[in-house]
Amino acid sequence: MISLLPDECLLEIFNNLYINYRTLFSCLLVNIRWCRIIIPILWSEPTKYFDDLRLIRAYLLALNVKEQALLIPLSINLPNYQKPLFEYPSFTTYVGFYLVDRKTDGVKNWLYREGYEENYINDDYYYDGYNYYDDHSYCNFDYQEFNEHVNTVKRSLIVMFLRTALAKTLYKNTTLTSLSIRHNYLGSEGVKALARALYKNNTLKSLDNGRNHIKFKGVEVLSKALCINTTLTSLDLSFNSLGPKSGKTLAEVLYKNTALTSLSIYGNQLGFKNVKTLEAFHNKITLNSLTFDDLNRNSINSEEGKAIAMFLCKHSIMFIHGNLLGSET
Amino acid sequence: MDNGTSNSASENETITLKSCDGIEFHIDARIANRYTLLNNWNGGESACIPNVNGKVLEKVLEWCEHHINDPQLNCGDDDSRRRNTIIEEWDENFLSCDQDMLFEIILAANYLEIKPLLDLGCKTVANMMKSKSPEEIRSAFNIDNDYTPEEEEQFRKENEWAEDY
Repeated sequence: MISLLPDECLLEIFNNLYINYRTLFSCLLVNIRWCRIIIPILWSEPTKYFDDLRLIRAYLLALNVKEQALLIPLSINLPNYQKPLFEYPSFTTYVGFYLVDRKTDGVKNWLYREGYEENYINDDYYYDGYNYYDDHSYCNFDYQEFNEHVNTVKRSLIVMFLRTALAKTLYKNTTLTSLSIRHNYLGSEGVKALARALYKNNTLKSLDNGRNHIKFKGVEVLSKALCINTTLTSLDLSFNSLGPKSGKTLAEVLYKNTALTSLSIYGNQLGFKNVKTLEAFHNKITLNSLTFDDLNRNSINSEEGKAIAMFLCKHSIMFIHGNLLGSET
Repeated sequence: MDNGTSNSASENETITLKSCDGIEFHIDARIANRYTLLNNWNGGESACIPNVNGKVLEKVLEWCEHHINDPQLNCGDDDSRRRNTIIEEWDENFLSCDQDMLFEIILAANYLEIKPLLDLGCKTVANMMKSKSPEEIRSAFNIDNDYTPEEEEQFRKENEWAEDY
């Protein structure tokens, strides 16, 4: 009898079905014991299905009052279904919110359905087989307003993921290790939540925070946390309009932080003022991860260019296109 | 690949294992060395295996003998997830026994810490579940549904995104 097997054996069995979502779904409906074992497996990496509005809906139900409050200014109505039986986001180990394409973005699908066909969806909780992917009629909606809504919803979800990542979970290996929130216009609330998480979190290893428009203010907030954090090894801050002050701040972080091995600062107009700043980046980070690609498009003028050129010669690297170097360099 | 302990027994050395119901097996000592099979084995000529009966122990030992020359797996980088579920033909035949025996083998492999056999058994059971409905799984494994209809409905709703993939 299968019921004689201890939980550890059942866990082994279900781990074999790790990417077989449909079978896991069937198994979790078999009985309560199986459900408890399967939920953490099923929810550990569902985010490649972030295009599915039903998944987004399940996550939205887990927002706490504070996170819900972020949605109030835009009067977005949350689903008012029963409270979930598990805190599903706490099992998630990987969040990838980088989907920007309307057709494959669950938040957009959800908003579209909620906002424009509200009565219909209230009557019909179930997925109705409607083909969102081929229906481009929603391209006609006010793009800017719509996107603002999308970003607000995503921001509240990100804050929630960071909160639940901090919560202790029963199963090991089921806490957030990778967060990819590129291209989301995080805003100050989002950055603060990130910093809070980095202060306390000891599971997050990889953070893709590129194209989030966090600016110098954001770097300031994050850098304090980064000086303390000892687990994050990979950080992407590319295209965040950071500006020259941020370069110095980040250099200071790199002198204190011991964990980071990979940092991407591409496209930030950092404008390295002196080689010392640059060396902070180089000393702390293995050469192959901080590619000098990262120097590209960072507004290096000819004065700095000279210093950097010397630096680069020293380290026999040449890779600085996209900078206003001037002819002398 | 050696794990350092497998050389301590020569090829002809045998030891005697006794199942919980008193049945004796003479096995190649390398098997006992290879797996932590005999935690309480003091190097003597015989050992008792409590918790495993003769019928099951016979199967387990049959598997161990067949796989005696397999390379040792490195236990350090055991990534139990994302593994494939392909099973070799011999193993498939070996485990095409009745369900009760299959679960007994899994239990014994778990108890005796024979990781590759445990993996194999679990893979086999997982394959039996693939593409089945909850009802089909329940009847295949003779399991009672202990959900209330309301609970079952709510779990179905909260996880329905997974149903399509």
